[in-house]
Amino acid sequence: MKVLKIYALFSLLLLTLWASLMLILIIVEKYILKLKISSAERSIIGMSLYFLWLLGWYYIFRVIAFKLTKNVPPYKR
Amino acid sequence: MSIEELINLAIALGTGIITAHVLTPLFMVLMRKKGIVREDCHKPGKPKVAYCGGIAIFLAFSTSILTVTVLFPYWRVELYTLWGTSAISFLIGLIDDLKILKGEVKTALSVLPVIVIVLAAFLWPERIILGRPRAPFVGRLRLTIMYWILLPLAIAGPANVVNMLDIMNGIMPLTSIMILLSLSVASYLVANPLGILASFTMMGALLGYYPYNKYPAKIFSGDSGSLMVGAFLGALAVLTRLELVVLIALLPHLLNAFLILSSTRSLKEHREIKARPLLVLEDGTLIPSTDNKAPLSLTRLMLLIGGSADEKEVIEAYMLLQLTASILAIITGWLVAIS
Repeated sequence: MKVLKIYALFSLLLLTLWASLMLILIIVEKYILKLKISSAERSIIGMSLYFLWLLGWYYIFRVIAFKLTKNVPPYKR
Repeated sequence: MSIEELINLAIALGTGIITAHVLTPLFMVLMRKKGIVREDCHKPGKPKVAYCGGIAIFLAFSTSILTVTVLFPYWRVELYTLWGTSAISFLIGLIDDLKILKGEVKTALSVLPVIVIVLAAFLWPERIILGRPRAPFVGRLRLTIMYWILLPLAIAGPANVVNMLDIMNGIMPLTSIMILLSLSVASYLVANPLGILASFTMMGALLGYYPYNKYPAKIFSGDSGSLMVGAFLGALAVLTRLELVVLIALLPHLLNAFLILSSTRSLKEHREIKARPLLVLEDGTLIPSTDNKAPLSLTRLMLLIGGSADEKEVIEAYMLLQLTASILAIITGWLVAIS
């Protein structure tokens, strides 16, 4: 197993996940929740953004998983 | 922290280590005698290994909590709340170990321990304060109704994801120790003594237990161990309001759970799924399954990308991945502290 390759790839993935979470937090808490609209509207927009972030990652993982499982290389000892 | 407090902290840690180190071999013998064993399915010949090591972890953790409440009486309410939450999860796990529960039932039951936290917050509102988690850059999150909707998941989530990654020798205790260590550092950075104290109680128990669970394992934790440790992490995150730090530290676990749930699209117990994600060759080499019906776990994904491996290499990869997540959790804690 190429442990370093896996470490580099998955660490990059974790770092991207973390950075995107920080970004979405800043966008929602610093900008969306300060918009001059009703409290309910702010909450709906904020929650929708968090949901979209989650949905986005869901599809990214599904694409990665689908590509890898559909192209399983024949095992060589 | 004063020198006296540091000594007390070392005593608490030592109590957990010694108790777990003494009790685990006793339970190994007892479980073998009672025939409570499980196959180590990632090794050639599938040797039988003693099960329910979670009992030793729980007893060591309880001893350690008791020591800390004597040494640091101010935090008694919070520590007993943590103990109560962990104890209920331990009991649910123990029932599952001895009498296998359906995946959906186990997941539903794992929500129950949150009652302890809600009850404690109701009884001691000045000590157990729930809501408004701390986050980097923004201070406290403005979650109100959503917090109460998500609260049951704060315990059930970590409990189940830690349980789902307890797949190979030593992974559960070692990744949990790393998470607890990062939570201790984050708690120190945000000046929250409870986070440090409580982390050390569980860390001691896991450090004492780890030598028996590491590769090649002589005892398995069982759900009694993994559900309890996961629930403890969730409860500690809620009580210290460092939910985001724990969430980041648990990223490898969450990634694994997410992959499994999205590929199986159900909460089935692993024993209920016939197609296995990995295959074990005669020499112990692990290869990813080519069966499209097999669940896609993080280990299978690792093997698909990095090629076949033995169990030790997979454990090493997990440790490195947990190291990255733990560093990110500490950075998050630091960002919370300066926000």
